[in-house]
Amino acid sequence: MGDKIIYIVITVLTIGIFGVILFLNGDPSKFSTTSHIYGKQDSVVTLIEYGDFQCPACFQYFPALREVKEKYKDQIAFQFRHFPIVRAHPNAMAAHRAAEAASRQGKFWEMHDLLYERQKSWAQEINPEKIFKDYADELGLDLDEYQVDQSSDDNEGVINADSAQGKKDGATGTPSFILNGEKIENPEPTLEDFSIIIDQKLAEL
Amino acid sequence: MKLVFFVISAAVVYFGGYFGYPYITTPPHMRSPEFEHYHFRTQIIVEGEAVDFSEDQFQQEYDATSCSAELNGQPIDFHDSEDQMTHIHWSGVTGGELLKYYGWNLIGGDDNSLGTRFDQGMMQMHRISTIGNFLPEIPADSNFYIYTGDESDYEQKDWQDFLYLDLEEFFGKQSLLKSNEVSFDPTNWLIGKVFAHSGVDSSDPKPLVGEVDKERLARINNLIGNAVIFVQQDEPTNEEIVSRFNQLVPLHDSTCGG
Repeated sequence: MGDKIIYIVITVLTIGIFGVILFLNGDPSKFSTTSHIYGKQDSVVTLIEYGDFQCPACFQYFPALREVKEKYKDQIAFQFRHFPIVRAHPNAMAAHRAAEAASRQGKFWEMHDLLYERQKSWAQEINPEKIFKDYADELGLDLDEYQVDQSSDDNEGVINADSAQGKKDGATGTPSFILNGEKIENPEPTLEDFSIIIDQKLAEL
Repeated sequence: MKLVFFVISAAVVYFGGYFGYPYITTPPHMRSPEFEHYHFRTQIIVEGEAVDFSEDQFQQEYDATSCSAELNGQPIDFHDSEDQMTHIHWSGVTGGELLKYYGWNLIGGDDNSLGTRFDQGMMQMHRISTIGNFLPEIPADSNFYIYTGDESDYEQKDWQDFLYLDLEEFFGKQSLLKSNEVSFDPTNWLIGKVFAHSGVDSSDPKPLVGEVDKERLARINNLIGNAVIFVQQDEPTNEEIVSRFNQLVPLHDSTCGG
């Protein structure tokens, strides 16, 4: 009788511990990360940027990255993933939602570029959604569809999935760059600096 | 049996003291800090001499090449070689903590620490060291007079309120960055946690309709007020006060990334 009680207690404790571990470490998200890739889709070299559309540092990197994408579009895959720092950037999530909504209509990169190019005109607005809708209009999107998509839970789900993956990849801020799984520490925001790093990686393969 | 009781009692006393004392002597907002980033302009005038916060000892470096997603390690800082512009990075900071951070301990406790952080796990608790003893010596028989407002409209405030109230409450204005997230989580005690953080943006937005430039700049700088503190025997005259409010450092379209 005594042994039985011990076994029952151990069993209950074990199940409880597993439950706690699953609760703490489990990934309840049903959403996958995004796959916004520019350049050579099947390249063996992938440069991922974890970015925040409202981050002023990302804005500083944007011109150089545009040059990088053009220079290496036939050689590498350049991937953008969402990493909005919502505590510091109150308009970031709305901007990322807008980009994802544009993505549903095949215009992710166009919206991505507009958001960075015009960051200064929306970053401090109290209600930026109207501005983003104007961008959607400018890009020729179906506005009804855009409105539904930008506010959908699925939209936020994939953005959060990207952010979660970013944390796993070691992103502690934006922009963070991951080249074939390795984080690039503090690259200069210049085509030259990125070229050195990418050329080196291409030469290794 | 006595030995077991003694060992258990000793362990309770040791760990209770080791963890308990720093815990109860640290204000909750320092124990488990939460992200914040707002600004206010501070002037401290000691016997007619203003403290120059643009001097090197007050200034901190920050990484302007990224927007950090982690909580800033310092609750308060000055940077970009700018006088007066005080950056607050943690919620709940009081004026007393600001003064203590730079050398004036008017609120008690350890002179060299604002308390102990527990938010990264019990095993990683660590002191929040002050920056140093950089403020000038307080002359004997001095009184503290504090005024808030600007050159056109100011008022005297209670010195004790400045020392002990959350600065947002003291100034009567909330930061624009309000998070719904609460960093206190019992699992933090067992498992380390990374907190989100970043800076206020550099940007040059167009003004809202009807918004004058002064309001616009205050908004994009997330400026919650201006404080002028006189440390002297007698109450300052209106001329002295206005003169100081006329010397507020100008606000810029671009503030900081840190």
